[in-house]
Order: sequence, then C-alpha cells, then structure tokens
Amino acid sequence: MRHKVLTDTNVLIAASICMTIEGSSPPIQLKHRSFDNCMGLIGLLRKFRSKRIGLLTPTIENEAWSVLERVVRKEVETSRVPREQLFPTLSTVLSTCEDRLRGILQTLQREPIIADDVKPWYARVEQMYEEFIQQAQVVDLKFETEYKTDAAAEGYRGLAHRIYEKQAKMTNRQVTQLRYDRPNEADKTLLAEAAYLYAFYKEREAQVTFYLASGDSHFSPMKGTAGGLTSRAITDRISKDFHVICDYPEEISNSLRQEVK
Amino acid sequence: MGSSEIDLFGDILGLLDSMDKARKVDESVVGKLDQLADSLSRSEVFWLNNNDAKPVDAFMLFHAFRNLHGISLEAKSRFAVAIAKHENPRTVDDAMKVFPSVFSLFATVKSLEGQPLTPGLRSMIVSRIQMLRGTAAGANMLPSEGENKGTSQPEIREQARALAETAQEILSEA
Repeated sequence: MRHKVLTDTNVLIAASICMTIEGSSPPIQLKHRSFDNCMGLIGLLRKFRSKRIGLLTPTIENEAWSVLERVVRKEVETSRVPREQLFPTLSTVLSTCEDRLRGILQTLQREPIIADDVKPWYARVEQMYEEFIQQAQVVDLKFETEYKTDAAAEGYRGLAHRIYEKQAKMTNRQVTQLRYDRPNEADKTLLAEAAYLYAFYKEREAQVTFYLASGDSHFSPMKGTAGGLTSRAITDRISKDFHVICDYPEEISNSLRQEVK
Repeated sequence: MGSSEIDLFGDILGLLDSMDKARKVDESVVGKLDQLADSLSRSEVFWLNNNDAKPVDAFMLFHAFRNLHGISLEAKSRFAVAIAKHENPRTVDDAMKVFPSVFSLFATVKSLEGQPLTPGLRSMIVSRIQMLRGTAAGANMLPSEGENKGTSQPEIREQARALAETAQEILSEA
C-alpha cells in the first residue's frame, strides 16, 4: 500500500511561523498555535522523503506565497508601530518565516498539474458542494431534535430535548456552516487537484491511501470541544466520492506512524 | 534604472567571470561590492522614508532592497576574508551562484519602482526574494549579523506574535 499526503496552504503557513528569540534564558520560542501539529506532520514527511509521500501542487505553492503577501499587507496597513521601527522588524520576521516555508516546500514532491485534466474533477467537486449548500438551507434541526425527543421516556423529555438539540447542532455543523461560510474557488480547486492526483496514482500504483492534510472545515471534520461530537458529513462524502481522506495534520501523522514502515 | 548601479553590476559580473577563469580573487571586487552595498542601502532608506507610495508597496520594495543590501554586504565580507585567508576559488564559485539572482531581483524591483504594485506583483517580489535567499543560503551568503540591524529583540518578539495572529486571521477567513 502506497501513501500520499497533499498538504493544504494552512498547514504550510502554520509550520512556517516560528521564531526563536535569543537574549533571554532560556530563549523564547514564538510560534503559530498550530505549529507543533503541522510541523509534526512536515517532520514525518521529511523523514519519509525517499518514499515520496508528501506532495505539493503549483496552486498550493502560489497560494502559500499569496497568504504571506496578504499577512504583510494587513500588518503594514493596521500596525500602529512607527514605520522606521515596523519595516526593519517585519522584514526580519518575514525573512525567517519565508526561509522556513522555502525549506518546507523543498521537502515536498511537486506534482505537475494540467488545468484541463483537473476540470472534470472541479465540476464534480462544485456539484458536491452545491448539493451540500442546498442541504444546509433545508436541514431541519428542530425536527431532528423533536423526533428523537419523542422517543424518550416521559419525565426525561426536557433533559432529552436539551441533549438532542445540542447533538443535532453539533453533528450537522459541517453542513450548516455552508449557510454563511462557503468554500471559495481555491478550496474547490485544491480538492479537485487532490481527486485528480488520487486517480492518477490509483491508475499506476493500484493500492493508494490518499490524504489531504488541512485545518479547513470545508474538508476536515469539525470536532467538538473537549473531544465532543464530530461533524463529518462533507468529509465522509469526499472520502466516498473522491477517495481522499481529509483530516487534521496530527490525525494524519498518527495514521502514517502506524501504516508506513 | 540608475546607470551607476548597472555599471557596478556589469563590473562585478565581469570581475566574477575573470576571477572564475583565473581561479583567483581580484581584490578590487571588495571596493565594487562596497559601492554596490552603499547604493542598495540608499534605496533601502529611500523606501523606508517614502510617504508617497502606498505603505505596503514601500515595504515590499524596502524588504527587497534590504535583502539585496544584506547579501551584497555578506559577499563583500566573504571576499575580504578570502583575500586575508587565501581561500580563493570557493568564494568566487559561491558568488557566481548568487549574483545572477541578485541582479535579477534588482532588475525586477527597479522596473517596478514608481508604479502601484498589484497583489500578484507583490507575491512575485516575495517569491523572487525567496529564490535569492535560497541561492544565498546554499552558497553560505545569507546575511549573518546585518539581518537584525535596526531591530531589537522585544520588537522582533512583538512583531512575530502579531504576524502569527494575522496569519491565523487570514487563514480563518480563507
């Protein structure tokens, strides 16, 4: 069984933002809040680099540089720090993050992507999200809650209602988020490229497990706080239709540690 | 594009070529690199103080010239050490790898001066700077001390924190 992991831009950026500040004892390390999990996966892909597990597409690479450009723009436009202090400091911090990003990109295998080959996959991805957007408009959490509450014993229905209401809300979150937060073109292109790459490898290498490492809930399951209920209708549909397993970097790291020898 | 800078680049590239053939450092390269670093430093200061351009455009050009300046200074220092220690061909080989990228970034940013930068042009500058830094890292010519010039540790700490938060916000919006 071969394994392939395509990393979303959010994973690359989070793994790039880390600085060690010397001058205090011990030195202070400042990092993105997802740095440890994302770098854990990148480290594993680096370890397995001879197996060519970690993949990169031009879309993701361009998007990564574009995110850094947007971060800089926002920093320059909103910072209250005087320019003579901001520019040199931001330049130093940016160089450090860019150097890290460059190092990470070098460990991933660049996949050639022909736009025309991805088009049919994009159409299927778009169709899938359209269906979920329709579903998000009509999903009736109240009906689902009351239907389940009716089955509870009398005297417990108040409590049951509160539990089932929360349950319905939590388990449907990945779909209901589409009422106000829809996947953009870059998201759909990324998934289409992942589906295309799975099909490409499947044709040549028979047994392939294909992961998309992402912190984006348009792909990866939405987890409840403190390990509560998970919402994963979209994740499951992606797995069923496109054979792409979407999950967070730490989950994919765990799977790779067990599966890759 | 300033003719004096073009002349300097021409002189340096010519010197590198002849040093490569002779496999020996020509001491005049240090003076040329010093002049180039001075000129790049002036451009860096120009964009730091330029209030006419959009702040983000001024920053991008400042960031580009700061990298060009830092790498040129590092090259000058490597050549000075090479002359003192008679480490001839290695520094020439390293500089031969880096200077085409230095010139390429310089030509790019010079051609963009005076016009508003689109997000695509800014991303292009970021990736060109990275190409240069990648080559410089491979040739051991990344700025060592000079990179933190004009900054203090607390400022860097605050800026790193702000950058991490802004990146988080942007990734959440995406």
